[in-house]
Parts: sequence; structure tokens; C-alpha cells
Amino acid sequence: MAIRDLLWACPLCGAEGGLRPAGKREVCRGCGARYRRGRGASIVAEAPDGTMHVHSAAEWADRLPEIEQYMQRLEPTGPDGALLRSRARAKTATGESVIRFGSVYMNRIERFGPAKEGVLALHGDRVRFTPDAGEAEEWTFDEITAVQPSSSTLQIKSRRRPVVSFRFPEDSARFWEEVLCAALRRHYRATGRGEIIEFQPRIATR
Amino acid sequence: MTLYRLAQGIVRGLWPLIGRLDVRGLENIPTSGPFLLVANHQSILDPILIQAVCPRPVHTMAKSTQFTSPIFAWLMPRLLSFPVRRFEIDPQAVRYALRKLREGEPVGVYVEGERSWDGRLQPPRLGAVRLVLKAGVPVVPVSISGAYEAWPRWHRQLRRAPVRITFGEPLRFPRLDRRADREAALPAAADRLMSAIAAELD
Repeated sequence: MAIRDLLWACPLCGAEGGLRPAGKREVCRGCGARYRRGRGASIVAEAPDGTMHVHSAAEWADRLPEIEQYMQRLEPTGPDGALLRSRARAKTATGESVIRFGSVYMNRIERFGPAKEGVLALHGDRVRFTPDAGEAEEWTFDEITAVQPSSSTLQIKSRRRPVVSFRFPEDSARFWEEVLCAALRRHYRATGRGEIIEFQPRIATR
Repeated sequence: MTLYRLAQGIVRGLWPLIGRLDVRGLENIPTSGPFLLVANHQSILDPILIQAVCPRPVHTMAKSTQFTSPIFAWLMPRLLSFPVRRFEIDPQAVRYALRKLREGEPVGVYVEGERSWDGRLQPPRLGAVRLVLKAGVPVVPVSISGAYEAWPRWHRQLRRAPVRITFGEPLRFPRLDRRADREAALPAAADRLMSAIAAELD
């Protein structure tokens, strides 16, 4: 987990996906501002001109661009026409384990398979994971039933398919969650399925 | 229960080395019978500290991925945590919670469903409010503040910070057996619950 999980854009220059680790700090590759944790849960940013900006996490979060506006600026790029892509490590649930306490059955939990490295791409109506080795997998917006952040991963559940968990070594899972939720909202509106009010445990509309 | 009490003792003993802990409203915790403890969620520290200071052992709902490693699959149930799968409707987690309440024991849930990224109170997960309306037991609202400053979600390091835990006066919600009744009562119950938690936050 890192500051870039919270600040998916640099609040000083607006560069999206800009913060990159640099020792104990994170540096914006857009403007070069250096971010670090300050007292308590405050975040200190040192701008390229040497000025220091100290704010609480909530104050910094308020300076992030509106996700809907960001989505409007996305243009298809590359041969696959993806709107956004990030390196990701995907794990798919391959089965379930039972959790007991003594003889008492508590619940079943998902058991994840090995991690696959690859690229997660957002398209207008689907997300697609292309592993470095092996076949690509897609989840259309119509079949996604839940979007769930968990620690620093993004979990996607779709109809009749197991849950898949994505970790983003260079990017923010929170950013991907917000982008995917915004894309799903837009898709639901455009297809007349109403306004999404919940993404977990199942997408619900009104 | 032995491990739970042991963990409670360790946390109570060691936490003063890390920071000040101000606990208020312990008199609001029912001394017998079932109740739901409904808290906000700022940090990974919340369940550790709340369970350490609550005089009655609390069965706490925890995300299923915390049980995936063999060590945690063994440890978590002994700390009275039970798993919930958050990416699909999980009737077994609700059944388990209701069973514990029927047995007269307290059950804890984090109403926001996940830790706050920026320290602010998030909207409630409606499933937690549905559980409140299904159970019909006293609800103790718990407000934890300062834990975010000690260990925010976006940082790997715990730091010294004063933490305050306030157990609010128990709220009464009717037990609603019909789904339609629960759904109708949901918005007002969610507002009342979140207002009670927010009232004691800094």
C-alpha cells in the first residue's frame, strides 16, 4: 500500500497515475513533486519549486479530479482500442475451503490459484486481462455482478464465473475500482438499466 | 476463548507503549444477552483494539480473504472472527451471526464494509443494516477515532497516535421478519445508525 493508492492523480499538477515509488517517497512523474507521510496521517508534498504542502488525506483526496470528468477525457489507444491499461497480477479463485471452529461450520471461503502477470485493460463495455503467457480473459460489463476492493486489490465477480483478484504493482487499486465503477454506471445508464446504488455484494440499481 | 483472552491481555498490555487509548461508554455494553456492535472502520487496528477493550467477547465478521492463509484460517476463528464473502450475497455469514445472537452472544460488524481510504466516514453497506433489522437485538454504535492517524490504509507503518473508542447508548430497532418491511425501513435505519456513529467521531 502506498500514497498512490489514495492519490491516483497528483493533486498539484493533475497527472493521472503519476506517483511512482522513490525510496521512502513517491514522486510525480508529471511535475516531479515528492510525496511522503507527514505527522499522523497527513501527507506532505514538496513541489518542484521547493514549496511544501501539508494536508490531511481527506483534504488531498478532495483535490483529486472528478472520476466522471476523467472518464470523459479517456480516448481509445493502441491496437486493441483500450481506454486504460495497467500492469496487473491476477489470481482467480479455483475452489473453496471450509472454515470451521472445532466442529462448528462457519463458512466457505475462496481459494485462489497461482498469480498471473499481465496487463488489465479497460474498454468501453468490458475489461480484458492479457497475461504475459497464456490466453486473454474478458469480463463484459453485462456479466459483472460485483466490484469489490480488498486491501490493495480489486476483485471482480461475474455471472457463473469465479471471483478474480487484481493487484497493481505500479498503479492504484482504488483508482481502478473508481474507474471501473464509473464505467459500469455509465454503461447501465446508457442501456436503460437504471442508476447503480451498490457494487457489493451484488450490483443493485434503482 | 483462551486465545481470545490471551490476545486481549497482550493488546491491553502492549498498546500503552504505542499510544494512548481513551475508552468511553463501557457502561453502555449490555452485561448479558445478545447485542450487535456496529462500528466505523478506519484502520486495521480497529478490530484489535475494540475486541481488546470490550469486556464481553465479540464474534466479529471479517472479510473472507483474511482466512486464506493456513495460519490465519486457524487463528481467526480462535479470535472469534467469522468470514464473509463480500463480492456476493453470503447467507451463511448472516446465518452464523444470527446463530451467535440467538445463543446470547455479541456480534460485531463494520458497517462501512471496508477501511476508509481518507479517514472519513463512508456510506454504510446496506447488508449490515439489513442484519440489524433482521436480528432485532440492541445495537451498540461504536465510534473509533485516531486509529486512522496511527495506521492509515495507504501506509505500511504503524505510528504512535492517541485513539479514542466510544461505545454509544444501545439503539433499538424492531425485528422485521418480512423482507419488504426490512427494505422499507432500511434508509431510516441506516441514517440513524450512521448518525449515532458520526456523533462521537472527532
